[in-house]
Amino acid sequence: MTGKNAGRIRREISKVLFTALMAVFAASMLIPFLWMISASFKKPVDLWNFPIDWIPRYWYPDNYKYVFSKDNLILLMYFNSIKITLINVTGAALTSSLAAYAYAKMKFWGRDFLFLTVLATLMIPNQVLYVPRFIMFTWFDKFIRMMDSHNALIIPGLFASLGLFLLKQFYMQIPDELAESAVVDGATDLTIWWRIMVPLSRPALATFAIVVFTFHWNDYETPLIFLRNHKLYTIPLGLANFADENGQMYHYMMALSTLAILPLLTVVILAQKNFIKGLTAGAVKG
Amino acid sequence: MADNTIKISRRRKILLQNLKGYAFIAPNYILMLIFLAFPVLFSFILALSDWDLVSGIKNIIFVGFENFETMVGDKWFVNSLVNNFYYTLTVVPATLFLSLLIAVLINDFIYGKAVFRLVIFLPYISNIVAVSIVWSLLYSKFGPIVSFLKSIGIQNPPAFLADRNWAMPAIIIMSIWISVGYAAMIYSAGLQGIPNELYEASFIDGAGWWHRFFHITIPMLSPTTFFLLITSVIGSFKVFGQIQVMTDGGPMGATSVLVYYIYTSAFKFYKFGYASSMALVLFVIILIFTLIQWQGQKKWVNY
Repeated sequence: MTGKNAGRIRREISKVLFTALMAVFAASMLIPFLWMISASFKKPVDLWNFPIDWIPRYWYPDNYKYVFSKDNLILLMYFNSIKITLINVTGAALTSSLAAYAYAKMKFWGRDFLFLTVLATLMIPNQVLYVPRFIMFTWFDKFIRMMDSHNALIIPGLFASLGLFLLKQFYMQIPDELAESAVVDGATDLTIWWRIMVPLSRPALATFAIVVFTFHWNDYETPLIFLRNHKLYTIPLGLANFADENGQMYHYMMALSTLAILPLLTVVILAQKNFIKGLTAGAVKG
Repeated sequence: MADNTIKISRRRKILLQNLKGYAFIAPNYILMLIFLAFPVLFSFILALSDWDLVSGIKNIIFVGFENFETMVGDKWFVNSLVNNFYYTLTVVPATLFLSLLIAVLINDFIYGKAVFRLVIFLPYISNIVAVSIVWSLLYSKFGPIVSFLKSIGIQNPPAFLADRNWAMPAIIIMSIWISVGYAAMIYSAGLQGIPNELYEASFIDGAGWWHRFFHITIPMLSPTTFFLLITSVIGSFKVFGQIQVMTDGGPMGATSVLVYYIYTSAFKFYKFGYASSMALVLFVIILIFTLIQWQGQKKWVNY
């Protein structure tokens, strides 16, 4: 009896020790973020003090004031990023779920082959596409503004092969009887898709939205290549450009970086369960 | 007569059915043709040509495989490729090892599992540009890392990002910091998928923790490890953001990697043909690993 008890106590103690150890490790993972936030409230002269003043000696909110006042920089960046990601998420969800429904539930000639060709595009790294797209977009400019325009990010972003794959898997699990009874009631495919499939697939659509959102929100390379006008810059590009133009203004940079990172982190922490499920599901599917 | 009309109406129905299917997939499929299929084919043509944007498409010169021959002799390209392997061979094993350790520790010995998983995951979803800027300051001459090294008695701490030999390790450490939480998250999902009966059976046999770790956990996690290995390798060949923001490939090319070199060749020097041929090399590298993964997945599913 006592031996068993001793074992349990030993296990509890080691669990507490390991938790403490992990807490130290996790805290050290957070150091860059903590340093950033603390630096964003410091006067430039206090920035490099060592040992580090984690709590600034003088709170200096002027960094944020500057970042907000300068050409409405941060507001424009936020507006652009939100606009692009919102259109991409809803647009890609629509085109993908429409196609996924057809691949999963409708019969037409060459269906499986066509799906396979879409699936094959998962293998293409984006980096291969930059140069040919750059050239193509200069041609498209005659018909629709692509270069130095949000269109260069939005229109190709309406296609998402990974999302299509996720949604197709989901629709295949929905029993055919559901749709068949709707057909008896005289429903067309379009109403079945919109009234039955889309509402049913909300969890899959949420996963899909998270994957697409995170990708476009953090995407740096595409805007870097296609955007020149500062007014069009998204958060990542605007931030990089600000750092280039204000080489020594580290306190401003930290304020801007904090504003760039914190909102998304807050969303993730609040919606962690869905978020993690979404990202791991996206990963497992390749 | 009646038979015939039925046949025709049936045929019409099938035709309609087909058209409806195509209409549903059309938006997605046409976008794919325009923005993926065509550019890929186009990049094959570009890779075999010598062309810059200014000359206009009519002045495209076909040079066959000359671009690929140039690559072999191009010391900047070879250097970028070598750097990329350096990056891959350090970041990938370190990330996998650390994340496995963390995931197992969190799973077996820790209170408040979800909180820890989330905290170490945060770097992964943070914007690459923002974290790169923060880390550049951490590494800078007056930054906290150098100050810390001085405070523990190191006389001449390296000038990390400005030092040829230290720039790459500095970026590698930061990249591990970014990806370890993500890999740990995937490992955690894998750990939760291991049936409890396996562990219970080994308890009855009186096996210790290490024995269970090596004989149950590691083998049962091998599909997860395999998946992470392949995707991390692929990811490591696409690394770009932190390089472009933190070092611009320098000092003296010490941190130039494949995508960074492709990017500068294309969009700084407008050598579109040459850049496309290098992008194809990247494509082939990634394709090989993707095929290995698909092949492997088939095997793992049936074990």
